[in-house]
Amino acid sequence: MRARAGKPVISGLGQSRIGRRLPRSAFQLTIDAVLAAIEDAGLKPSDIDGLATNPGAAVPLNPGFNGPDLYEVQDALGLELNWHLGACQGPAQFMSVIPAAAMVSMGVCRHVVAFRTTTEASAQGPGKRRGLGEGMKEGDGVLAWLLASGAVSAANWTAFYMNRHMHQYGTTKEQLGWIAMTERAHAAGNPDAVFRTPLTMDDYLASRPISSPLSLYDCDIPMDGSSAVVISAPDTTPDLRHWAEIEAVGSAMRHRPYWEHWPDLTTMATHDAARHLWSQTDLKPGDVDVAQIYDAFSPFVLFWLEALGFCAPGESGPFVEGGTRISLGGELPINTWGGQLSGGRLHGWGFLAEALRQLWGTAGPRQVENAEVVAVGVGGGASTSALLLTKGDR
Amino acid sequence: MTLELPGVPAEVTPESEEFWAAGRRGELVVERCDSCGLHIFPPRGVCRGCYGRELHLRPVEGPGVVYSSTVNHNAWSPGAPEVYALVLVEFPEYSGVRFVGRFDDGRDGTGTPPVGELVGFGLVPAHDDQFQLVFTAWDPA
Repeated sequence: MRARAGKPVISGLGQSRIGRRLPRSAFQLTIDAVLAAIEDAGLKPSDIDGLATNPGAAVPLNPGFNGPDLYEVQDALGLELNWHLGACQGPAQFMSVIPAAAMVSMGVCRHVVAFRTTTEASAQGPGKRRGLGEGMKEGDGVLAWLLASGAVSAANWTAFYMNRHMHQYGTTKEQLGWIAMTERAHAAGNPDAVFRTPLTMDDYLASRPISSPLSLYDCDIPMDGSSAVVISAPDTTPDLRHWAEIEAVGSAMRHRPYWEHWPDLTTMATHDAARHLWSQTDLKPGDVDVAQIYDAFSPFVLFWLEALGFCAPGESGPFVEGGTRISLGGELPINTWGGQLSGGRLHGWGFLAEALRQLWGTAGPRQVENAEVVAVGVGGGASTSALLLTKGDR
Repeated sequence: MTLELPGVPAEVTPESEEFWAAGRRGELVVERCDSCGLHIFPPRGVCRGCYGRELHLRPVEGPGVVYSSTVNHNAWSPGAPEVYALVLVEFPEYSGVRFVGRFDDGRDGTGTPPVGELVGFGLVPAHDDQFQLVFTAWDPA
């Protein structure tokens, strides 16, 4: 189904400082990223006519999760907007990007800034990572039953999926370990990454258990940081410094949006998003040069690899084993910036940032040669979204 | 047994009010559609299979079937328990509705039943007037 004359593009990327417990507010980090993205696109704030984020002002699932209020960002920069959105229910981490792409395609906007900010590292403080919902009086919506039943961490929910995958396909803990080790090796090429020292299988297997079969290095690490992109209309490319085309989006939700009620726990909503993504393009999984795949927990990578068609159902364990295929120089390098396991949890936006850098040839020592097609899959469990990005040609 | 799992109470809505009231009587209930017989959880007042609006609550009886499990090893808030087993249990006789709860292995609480194992369950008070589920090995007696 290709109904578009020209494709919306991403024309600018900006990131604030990224780190653990930065001495800078979520708001200032956001302004840093937004201004940097606008500058990267070769535009001025007065060119921006759309603004979007997720979730913005909403009840936080975790302290430091939400980022600033969209209205305050608009006000601080004096933006004159044709459209704006602070979204807390939508297709996972790209719930602001996808409608922004639609808005520039419709002609409602020319240049939309979309941003995502987290300060979970600062909010967490020096203590251990907390469960979800702790600050809430009660849980509502699709997480209510999990949070009331003692399954208060997404680590527990993901463990249910991983155990089922192991039961059905014989996937092993060591295979999960190859994801953590490969991402750690990639992080060595990323100066912003949190963990850059090599991880061995022994280190991995000896790490503290969290929720079986997941242990510490299967879990991402909370961060402070903001990322922003500029999404521009198809006909603006003659004026742009660089761009990436949004070839297709995956935003489908076709099954029950509950982690525990998903029909088959050897799959995730990744499968809906991926199928939807491929339905909009003539490109095939084999055309993808590099994949950026959400890894709040390492099992998500397995589920996305199968969903996106890089391997058959049940074969993701053997696919990642040994790390050769998924490393830089392999047939499908993934998470070349270290992913959230080693690069840090920017809630999906580290993957988008890296996808753009790969397409623009600015990924430095971790650059994949001639990267022209990048698949980005974010989210897991019952909420996901995906983008297929291609190199813009002048 | 006492249950000290972490968590927050579920918001009680007009749709879920009767579910929690049944829980206070010691019953785990799901909706059943009068027209097509599909079981629905959480309660919705509408059948996702046939869009019927006449649904009645029906008690769930064991055994359930273990769909997946995990042993938690992390304290998710200060003072919360660290080690406890959680199971995700499917009830095939009830259109496959699933519930999450603690698994009590009768020993140190770290044992989990294999996928496919039959389990029974009990309700234990939690969050003031709500409850959590504790699953145990199925005892047909």
